[in-house]
Amino acid sequence: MISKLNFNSDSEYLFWQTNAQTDLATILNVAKYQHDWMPQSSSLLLFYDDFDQHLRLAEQYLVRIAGQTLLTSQTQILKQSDKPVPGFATEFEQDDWRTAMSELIGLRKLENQLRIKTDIQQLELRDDEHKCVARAVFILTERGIYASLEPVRGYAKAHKQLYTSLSKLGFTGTELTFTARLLELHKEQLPETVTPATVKIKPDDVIGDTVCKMCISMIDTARSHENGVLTKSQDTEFLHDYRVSLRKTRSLVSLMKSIFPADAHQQIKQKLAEIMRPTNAARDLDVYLLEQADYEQMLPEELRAGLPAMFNDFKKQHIKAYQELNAWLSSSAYGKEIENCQAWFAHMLENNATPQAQQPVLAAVNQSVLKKYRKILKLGRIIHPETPDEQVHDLRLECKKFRYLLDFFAPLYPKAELSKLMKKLKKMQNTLGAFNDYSVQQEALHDYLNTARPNKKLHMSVGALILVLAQKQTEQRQQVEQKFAEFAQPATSDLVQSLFSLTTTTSKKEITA
Amino acid sequence: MKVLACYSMKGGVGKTATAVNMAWFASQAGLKTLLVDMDPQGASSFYFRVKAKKKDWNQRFFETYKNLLSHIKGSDYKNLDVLPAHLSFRHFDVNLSNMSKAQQRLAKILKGFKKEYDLVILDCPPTISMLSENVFRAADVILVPVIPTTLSERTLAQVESFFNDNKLPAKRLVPFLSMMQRQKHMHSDAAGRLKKQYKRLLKSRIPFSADIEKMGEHRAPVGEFAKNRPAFISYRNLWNEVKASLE
Repeated sequence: MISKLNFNSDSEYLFWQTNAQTDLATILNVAKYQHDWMPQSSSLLLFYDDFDQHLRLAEQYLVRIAGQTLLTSQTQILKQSDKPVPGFATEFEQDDWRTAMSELIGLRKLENQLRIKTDIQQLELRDDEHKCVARAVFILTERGIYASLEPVRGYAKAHKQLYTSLSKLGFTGTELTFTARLLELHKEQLPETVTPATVKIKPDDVIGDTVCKMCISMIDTARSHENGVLTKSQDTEFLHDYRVSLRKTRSLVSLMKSIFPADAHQQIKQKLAEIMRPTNAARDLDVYLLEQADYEQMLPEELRAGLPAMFNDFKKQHIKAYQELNAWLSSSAYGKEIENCQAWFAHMLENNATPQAQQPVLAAVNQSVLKKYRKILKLGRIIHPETPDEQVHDLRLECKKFRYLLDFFAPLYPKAELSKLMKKLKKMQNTLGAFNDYSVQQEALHDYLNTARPNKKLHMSVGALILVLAQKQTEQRQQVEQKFAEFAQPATSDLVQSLFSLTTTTSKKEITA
Repeated sequence: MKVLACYSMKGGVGKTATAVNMAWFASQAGLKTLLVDMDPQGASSFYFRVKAKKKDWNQRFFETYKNLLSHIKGSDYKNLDVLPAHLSFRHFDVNLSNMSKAQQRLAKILKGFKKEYDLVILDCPPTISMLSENVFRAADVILVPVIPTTLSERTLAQVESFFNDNKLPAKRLVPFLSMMQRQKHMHSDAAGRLKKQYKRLLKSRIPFSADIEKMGEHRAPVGEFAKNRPAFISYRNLWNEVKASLE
């Protein structure tokens, strides 16, 4: 008696696309063998994925069927467990599942996106000694029957006979696992994949048009996450992605400000900042709560006593922040503001007001990249151990803008070389980013302490945490000069020169100057 | 990969029942297990309902492990395969006597299963011969069922002196009490003596039990039809001790 579904690596699969109500037990007959049919059972086949359809895009399938959770590829069963599917990757009990799912979906929330009604039949063929010589699992759906045949070692003949008998009924062999095969048949029932409309970037297009189209598209992308923020507050990625899209829009405007009429770019940046402001508190609290375990790790055990109280406060603030955020996102004021922004870009698209807006994309981008690069070198070179933090932050911001610029227009450049440059940049950015994060966190904890109730344990823990963060910030700060020096080597300038001087007259001298 | 032999010089002591149930517990614990039925009577093959191929193949058994592969059968249980016995296995001693390094043949061919199995269990015929010597050299643990009677005590002593005479590692011999009937004074007296005499005697005792006898009727290990009954529990305890001694 098989108590649970077994899908073995040496199993063979068949499929019969039939919508007939078929009773296999009456029509299947493999000569010479006794047919042991287990009682038929009904089960829903549930497909899980996240909002971004990370699993499906990676051609992996997470399903629940007959009390089993399975992760499969197109052709193989990768993992099988009897534990239910939790909401997040971190909530899987087993280490290997946690690791695999984190890689696949990151912080996104899993949701049941498709359910298929199935009946399951299991068959064992037995010989005259009543020995099991072949096994099969049948998954019957309205659109067809999937069969997984498990050979028993030493009984190849019986397996082959079963295969042949099924072929005669109408089954045909398939490489696909039942998940991949059945999903293919029910594709139209899946939620639509959100693929942000991307703007095709061509070197000879007019830069003004391209940038305006990109901004409109990025605001669209941001807006596609609104619903997720409003309804699924547990999945922090909706708000994160929403903010990233708007931030990138602002960044693109400021990177390409010369294509907009003077002062106009300031106004639109201002507007976008105003739209984002009501989301700040919710995002900050998302991050603190996600990093709760890391904060605990930073303190020795005897100093942790006050942390639960702080996180409880954060949780309360979190609920409130999301309430306010939801009120903002569903308000007509918000709707109007964001539509105005898109309208503004649409208007700009019609009226490229400055001569710079008429430039070809490649020339404009090259110019802009070189300018940013020079600025980074200039800011980086004056940094020494006593430089005030503000100047380090300025360097960080410029690097971030530079990074966005490379991201935005990556399709214009050879992939391998560009990614080499990005890697160099990323190393410096990691240090600068960590330096900034620790500083922002200290500030936030200071603010929190100023308003928190006078609880000795709480103040002791938070105070200790601020000290640890300050220590970590110093460690990062000490690395800044070194990381900058590594980035600003002649090799980087050569790389920048070869990538971005193709159509401009800028000489190497100018870059490194 | 570890090799566990179920061996007794004396017949009818519960050797095959032990091999079959140990194989079942091992496979349930997730170990990829192969039970090799070396006894031409083929009792453990019978319990698992597997039949050998018709042709005699004893001659080729000790040549290479690849010869063995095509004879392996999947049992009805996950992780558990069986190499069924053939009547021609009664000639094993003759076959071995014609081979070079005859005492090492079994150890050598079993090495080939290293990649595929975690545990190989040998169900051995009740003799003391060249084949037995092969088993003694191939196995990490030699599990010896002993009925607590004078005669069984005597054969255990004989096996031990065989080990000593042939410079075999006697510590691999792990006896345990089998078919024990507590109500029999003779059994408890002998059990007491064995306990004193053999430090390695396992704590688990397999009782004389109708459920174990019924294995022949059900043609299945006790775990399949007598779960949580006394016989099942004593085999489970025995498996836990065996597992520890294999580590």
